[in-house]
This record gives sequence, C-alpha cells and structure tokens, in this order.
Amino acid sequence: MVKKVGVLILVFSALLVLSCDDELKPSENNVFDAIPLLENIVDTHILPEYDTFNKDLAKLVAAKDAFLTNTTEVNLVSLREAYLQAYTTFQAAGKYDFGLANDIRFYLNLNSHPLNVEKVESFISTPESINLERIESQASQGFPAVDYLLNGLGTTDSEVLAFYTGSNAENYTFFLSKIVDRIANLTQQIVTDWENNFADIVKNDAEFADLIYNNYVEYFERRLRSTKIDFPAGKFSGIPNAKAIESVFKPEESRGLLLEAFNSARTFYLGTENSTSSWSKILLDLDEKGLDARIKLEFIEAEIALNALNENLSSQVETDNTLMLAARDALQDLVILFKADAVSVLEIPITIVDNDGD
Amino acid sequence: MLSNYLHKTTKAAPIAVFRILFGILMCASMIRFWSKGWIEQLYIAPKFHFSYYGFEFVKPLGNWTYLLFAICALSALTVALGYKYRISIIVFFLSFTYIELIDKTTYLNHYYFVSILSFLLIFLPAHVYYSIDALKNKKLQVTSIPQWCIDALKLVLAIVYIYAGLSKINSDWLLHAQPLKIWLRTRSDFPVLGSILHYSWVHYFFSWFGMLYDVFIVFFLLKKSTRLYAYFFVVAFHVLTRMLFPIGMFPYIMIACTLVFFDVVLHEKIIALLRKGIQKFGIKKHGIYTSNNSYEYSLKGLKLVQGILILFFAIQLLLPWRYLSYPGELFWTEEGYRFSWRVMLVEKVGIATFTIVDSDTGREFEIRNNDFLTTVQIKQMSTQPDFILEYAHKLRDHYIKEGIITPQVYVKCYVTLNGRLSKAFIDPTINLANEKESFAHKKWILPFDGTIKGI
Repeated sequence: MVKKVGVLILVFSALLVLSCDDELKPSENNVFDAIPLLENIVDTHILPEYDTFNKDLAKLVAAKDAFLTNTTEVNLVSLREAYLQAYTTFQAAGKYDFGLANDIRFYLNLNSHPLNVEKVESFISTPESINLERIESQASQGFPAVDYLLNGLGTTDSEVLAFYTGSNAENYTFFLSKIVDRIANLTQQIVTDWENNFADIVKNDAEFADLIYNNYVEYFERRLRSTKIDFPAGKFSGIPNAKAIESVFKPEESRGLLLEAFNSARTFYLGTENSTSSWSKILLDLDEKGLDARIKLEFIEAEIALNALNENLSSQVETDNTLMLAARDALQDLVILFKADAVSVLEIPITIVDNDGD
Repeated sequence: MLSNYLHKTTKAAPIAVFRILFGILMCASMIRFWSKGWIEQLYIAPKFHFSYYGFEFVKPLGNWTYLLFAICALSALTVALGYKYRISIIVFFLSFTYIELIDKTTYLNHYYFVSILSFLLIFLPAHVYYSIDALKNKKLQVTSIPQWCIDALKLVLAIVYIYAGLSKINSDWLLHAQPLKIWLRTRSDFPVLGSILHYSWVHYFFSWFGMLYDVFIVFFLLKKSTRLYAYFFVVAFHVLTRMLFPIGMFPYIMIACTLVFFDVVLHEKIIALLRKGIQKFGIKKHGIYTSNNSYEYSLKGLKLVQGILILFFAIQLLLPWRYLSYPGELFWTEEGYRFSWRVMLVEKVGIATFTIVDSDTGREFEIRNNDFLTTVQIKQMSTQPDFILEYAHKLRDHYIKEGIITPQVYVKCYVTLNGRLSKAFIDPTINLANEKESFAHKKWILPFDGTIKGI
C-alpha cells in the first residue's frame, strides 16, 4: 500500500509541476471565437476609420497650405471646413488607444481639452520654445489648438484673419503649420504601422480580443463619458466647467462631435453592415440575447439623452447642467453593462489581477 | 464508553507526519507569497485596508510586514522540525492570523483553514515523535498519543469537506451548473480535457461530482476498505482543480492533510524513508524510539485542552449556519458568508460609484475609486456590502479632513451574480456616512430579484 500511495504522490507531483506554469498566466479567451471577430474589427472598423481620417487630414494639410500661401477669408473658411471634417472623422479613429497609438499618445496629443491657451500663446510668441513632443505640451496642440487658431482668435473672420496678416503673422502661421503637420504626421505613423504588419499581428493573435475589449470600455468610460461630458459637467469636482468641452471656441459644434464619437462607439459594438462578426453577434452566439438586447436598448436611451442636449454643450452646462448629468448617467448604464455583465459572460479580465482565488 | 474512547491511544507517527508536512507546506506558501511580490502588492502598496469587524486594531505594518512574513515562514519551518514546537506553532498561528486580519480583501477559505488548523495544533502533542524537541528531551519521547488528538484533525477536515459539499446543494450549482459554466468554458486550452470543457454536460458533471465528492469523501477515507480509492480521488480532484483554477497552495495542503486518515503503517514508513534520506545527508544521530510510552496531558492541562476543543468544534459546527439568521439571499448579501467553507460558489462582478454631497453647499461630485483603492480592493469592494460601508466611511473621513463639514456618501452599485444580468445592489438614496457597521442585517442592501433554492 505504501508503494501505491508513493506512486500516487509521484504522479501527482509530476502533474503539479507540469501544471505549475500556467497558473495566473492570462490565457487566450476561449469563450468565443476571437479570430473572426478580430478580422472584422481590423478590416471593417480600424483600417477604414484610420483611412478616412488620414484622407481628411491630407485635405486639412492642403487647405492649411493654401491658406498660408494665400491668407484670404475664402481660404480661411475652407480651412475651417477641412478642420471640422477631420475633427469629425477623428472621433472614430481616436478609439484605438493601443499599440503604436498608445506609445505615441495619439489621442492625448490630438485631443486634450481644455486647451492650455497660455502655453499656446507663449509658443506663438516665442517659436523657438515650441516643443510638442513633451508630455507637458499635450494640452497645447492637436485639434483644440487648431480650434483656437481658427475660431478663438476673434469673433469675426476678419478679426481672425488679422492675426495671419498682421505684424505677428509669421509666428501664427508657423505654429498653425506646425500643429496641423504634427496631427498629420502622428496619424501617418500609425496608419503605416497598421499597414506594415500590425494588422496581421492583431488578426492572428486571439489575445488581442481581451485587449481590444478593455481598450474599448476604457475609451467609452474615460474619453466618451468623462472628457466629453463628466468634466464639463463637473461630475468629479461638483463644480461645472463649461470651458472643458470639445470645440470650445466654436461650441455649437461640440454636441455634433460628441454624437459622432458616440455613434462610432455604438457601431463598434454592433458591427457595420459589412461585418460578419461583432461583439453584439458574439453575445448572440453565446445565447445572451437578453444582455445584447439590453445593451442595444441602453444605446437608444443614451442617444435620446444626447439628442436632448443643446448643440452647444457649453451653454447646456450653464443653463441646465442636469441634462448633461442625465446624458452621463445614460452612458454610465452602458459602462455597467460593458464592465459587469458582458465581462462575466465573455470572461474577459477587466484588469488582470495577480492573486489566488478560492 | 466516552471515557473508554478518551483513554484510547494510537501511534504517534501520523501526527508527526502531519506536523512535518504542514510545516513544510506553510513555509513554502510564505516563500511563494513573498516571491510573487504579493507582500508589497497586497499589504504595503494599498493606502487603505479593509478590516474585519471587531479586528480594526490589526493594522498594516508597512515594511515590517516582510519581517512578519519571515517570522511566519521561520516558525513554520521550526514546526516542521519539531523544534521548540509549542512556541513555534503559537508564533505561527499568531503571525499567520495577523497577516490575514490586516485586510479582508485577501480573504480566502484556505487561509482561514490554515489559521484554525494551526490553532488546533497548539493543543496537540505533534512534537513527541520524530522531532528535535523529543530528541533533546528524553521525557517527551513517546510512541503513542491519545486517539482523540488524531481524530480532532480528521474532524476539522471532515467539517471543511462536508460543509463545502452542503453549500453546493443549491439550484445555481446543481441545476444551472453555475458558476462552473462561466469558468470552465474559458479553459478550453486545457490539455486533453480542454476540447470538452465547453459542453454543457461537462459543467453539470463537474458540479454534481464536486458536490458528491465534498459531501462523501470523508466517509470513504474513514473506511479502511475504500480508503486507498478515496485517496486516489482526493489526489485527482485536487490536482484537477489546481490545474483548472488559480487556487494556489490549497490543493497541496489538502492532499497532504488527508494523509492523516491512513493508518500508522504508512506513516511509519514515511518516517523511515525520511530518516534514510536525512541520514544520507550525514545527519546520523537522530533516532526514533521503540519504548512503549504514551503521551499524557497533565490533569489540568487535559481539562483545559478538552474544554477549548469542545468550544472550538462547537463554533466550527455552528458558524456556517449563522447565515440563517439574516433575511435575503446569502449569495447576494453575503451576510454570514465567510468562514463557512463556501468555496467557488459565486461569480460576481460589480461596479460601485460613490458620490459625495456637501450638506452645506449642496456641491456634489463622484469619486474615482482608483484614487483610494487598488484594483484587487476595488474588485472585492464592489460586490460586498461590508466593504462598501467601510469604504464609504473612509471617504467620509477623508472629505471631513479636506474641509467638508458633513459629507454625505451615496453609492450606485450594480452587481452580476452567476451569469444573471446586473442589478442594483445598494439603495442609492441612503447616506452611507450615517450607517453603522454591525452584525445586524444591512437594510440598505436591495433585495435579490431571482431565486436560489437550497442550503
């Protein structure tokens, strides 16, 4: 009998040694088929969205160049149009904060608001001090800075134009050129990286599903909900700050940008008409119709709450902040479904917690 | 008959083997915990710790925590060696239990198991055979000990298994195979078995097998004719759970501890093997004795120990039933959930967002939990009412210091339980700053809509 027990213990130690390695190591997700999902995410969301955005940026750069060669009101107006168009398609392309985008702080460099106007002014007055690479310069560049340069310098077109024709014109054109080029350049780096090999890497490695889901939820919570609504509404301080909205120098565009971001986030969940797989379809395949229906319903509720806002979010904050908070709560309902319900069905670790359980 | 039983003796080898294995495994556990960086992560890094009600005086020790772990590991080692056993096991019990009491975020049933087992070992003569103490002190050397000493260890194991089994007799576990269904289908990368782990019948099979195993394994271990097969199941069961789930050292501990059910022959052979091994290292002068003495407690000591053990086992037997005195669904409220061998019964995910309202100005703002808690703490806090209350009080105190005279604290909390859709968990209109912690039912926990039938 001693021998039998001995053999048993030997076998079990061997098994334990074999099994030891995989403890706590995040293994790839096995609840759903990740590869087709990833292919769809890359081919029908990420690549087309970056592509559209990049093309709009090419137009923005061209419009900027045209404006700088010929500082007319007509060119200013078309530059503004190109800027708004690019800012609009950025709302979709800005969702993907992983890989190179995360390394170069793509979103934060392109869209940190509120803008640090003081620093922007000091960059303009002393061009040799311009250093956009530094983290401290994050809030002094990107679309908010372009917004300032095109909409914030004066109330009429001629007032704005005066800055680009007056005595300090060189400094203003230099900075405008610099930040527009930087937006285009950072974006081009990411587009190139995706085209070179990152698309293939992501499509062939199921572990990216967890990462992309986490990234999506984080985007939804931190950017869509917090920076666009919570901060202006003063959710974390109790003190509303109408100046914290996006497009603050042309505030009537702010809700439009918010809706654009929201719709893009919804499409990401539902999939486009070309998608053969999406998060929504995954839930349906897992026989989670109830959860999927609830998420879709909450998206509708959130859409209603967002549409109830004034197109100028700044004046919405000032006149009736409760609507802002209501919109925020509607988005929060989705955050709860994404972070509690869906993760327990999909078994996606929201953060990999390194500790024993029992 | 009782007095006959109390005078019955048995050979001392099993308890010596038990002591050695327990000590070695505990020492290894401590070193493992240390080497994974968990001391820093769980006990030093957090700015705030969640205390057990009534044990708020147990404070984190900062960098001294390392010393505490060192003491704990060292005492486990001297327990294994049987060196100054009584002091060692007391130090081990105290240091280990202190560590566990620092923060209930890290509560695990198996830590509780270690605590109560080491408490029990304080009163048992585990050092009278094959130990440094006995080698040095001829008076200690005996070959037999009272039968009830061994049986007390078996009883602890029986309580753990049977209560764990009984708690699995509920509709979620048996009729819906939850939460195993959620957990198992994530493991289809598992060798051999992996390919079948997403089949529904496998989830049901594991659930039912797990329940039956827990309830009945002790009876098969007790019976000589089935013992070896039962032990085979013990090993297979724990190895499998070890491989499927991140449960650390617990399976090793159970596999080692259940050896106590075997009779003396096996344990004497284990000791003989150990001696041979150790002698090969050149340590020749350690013997075991063949004289036929039995360990005798002093009369006073015996009464004291037996009194303590009766109380100890009464508590162990009754504590898991305390949940019956609370209204509402146990898995939802978790009132009376801990210290009851409820292992792997619930899969919960929660989101708790706290709002502070300044009573004087009406200013209101939301809290970002990351500013106060670690990820592990947030995860535990979001699904357990006592954590939520303690955190709310912490926030209240923090903002009083920040200058808000009477901060109100509200929470919006949503929780999923065993695959159900998330539901509101805490009454969002209750100002938690004014609620007091106690053993009474927390009325601000919102009722659970579903039903879970069973024990």
